Amino acid sequence: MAGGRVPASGQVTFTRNPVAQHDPNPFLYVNKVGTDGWLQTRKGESTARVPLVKYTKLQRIESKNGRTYFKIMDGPSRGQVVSLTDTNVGTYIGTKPPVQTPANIVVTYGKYVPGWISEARGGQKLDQQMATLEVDGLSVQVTMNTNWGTPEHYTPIPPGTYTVLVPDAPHNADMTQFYRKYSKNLEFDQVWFPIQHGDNSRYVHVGNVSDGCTTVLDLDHWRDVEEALISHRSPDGTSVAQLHVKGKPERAE
Amino acid sequence: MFIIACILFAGSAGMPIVRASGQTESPDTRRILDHIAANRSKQTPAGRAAARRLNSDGDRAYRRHHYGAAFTAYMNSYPNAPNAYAYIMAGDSHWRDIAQPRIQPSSQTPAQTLPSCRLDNHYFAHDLALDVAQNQAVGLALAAHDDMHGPDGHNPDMHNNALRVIDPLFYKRAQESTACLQAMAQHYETEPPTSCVDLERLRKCLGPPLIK
Repeated sequence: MAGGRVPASGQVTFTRNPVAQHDPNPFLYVNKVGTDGWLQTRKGESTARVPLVKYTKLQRIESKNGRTYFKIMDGPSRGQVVSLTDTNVGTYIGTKPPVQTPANIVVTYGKYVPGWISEARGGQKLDQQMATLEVDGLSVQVTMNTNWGTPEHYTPIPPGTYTVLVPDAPHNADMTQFYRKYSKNLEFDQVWFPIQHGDNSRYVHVGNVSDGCTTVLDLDHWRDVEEALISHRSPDGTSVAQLHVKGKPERAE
Repeated sequence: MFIIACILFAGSAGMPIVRASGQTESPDTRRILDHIAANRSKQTPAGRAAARRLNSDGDRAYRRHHYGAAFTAYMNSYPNAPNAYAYIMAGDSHWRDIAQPRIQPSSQTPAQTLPSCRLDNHYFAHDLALDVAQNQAVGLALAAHDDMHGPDGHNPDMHNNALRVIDPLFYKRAQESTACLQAMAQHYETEPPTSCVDLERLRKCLGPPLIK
């Protein structure tokens, strides 16, 4: 279906568009992913895997020998040709696009809490610089740093505005899957969003330990936060959100 | 068996416990040991495999003297499956990372770069004491326990040796380093927050790398 506006009345009409009917390459999107947050596709004719996050934009090329081939239109793997089995196309690929503006994340620094006990990490006391993260009507507790040392080591990110990039690849499952023993709702834990700052080694991610990252402590609500971020794209398709960090950390180094 | 130590796995809150090895077991160490004992039934083969992979990752980074990366790997190993090696190596690599001399970027003049005091005592005594209590001290207690009972407390033949500390020299070195770090933390508890931490003393406590 396509839309049009009647010039005289301004009324919006919807008619079957013959151009769209014959367009062999409409844009499609990754609309479903695995519990790790990624869809594994096959690169070209090879057996190499290309992981894609939800709402990655695709252009269908062709279908042959039971596989459908797509060109990736945005994100870190933009321009590559990947394929899925025809069966999986029906399950994982759809027409729902991301919101075409970046999400707005507001993080406000709170207390420094020494001795925060992490059940998921064996009852360890962790010294957390806490903050509150708000996005899309959600409000969750985050830690902005846990491991401390000299000033050139990990520190909470300075107040300011940062761009949050589209995730590039699944992070090591061994680093976060143990949290699932403590939260039945936890999934998409291998999706880490890089924050554009310095060498881009800070992320928005789930867990109990922050190396200067924005780490969502609320394991049960990570999948909601993840969806609130991954369902947005900047116009150029490289980022998902703007991160506004406000206030002042009680412990800065 | 390479060590005979007083293993007190019954709960005992409050005062530190002095072990037969001469090391002090703090309430923080005890709390973690109790937590590990209470959650042994939750361990899975997948968790143990993940812990082994991360220990290998940690070893690779440690041998390249990339102690920050080594610390990250080891500290994510033990939540998958508590193991003495990861606890000991996490604590060791974290403080090795902090004590490691920094290379000055060539584009900066000396006046712009490292301050005369890289680390003051504002948080140091607390950070070091808590870290050693929750890492090396836990690892040493687990190593002694594993040596007598196996890593899951009942059958030493069932599991991969990669999750066990079986090298007496490694254990002895880790024990000496831990005692030295505990003494250093105690010393700095009596120093003013503004005093500068002697990183050379920290390096001497750690000694040469624990693995080559």
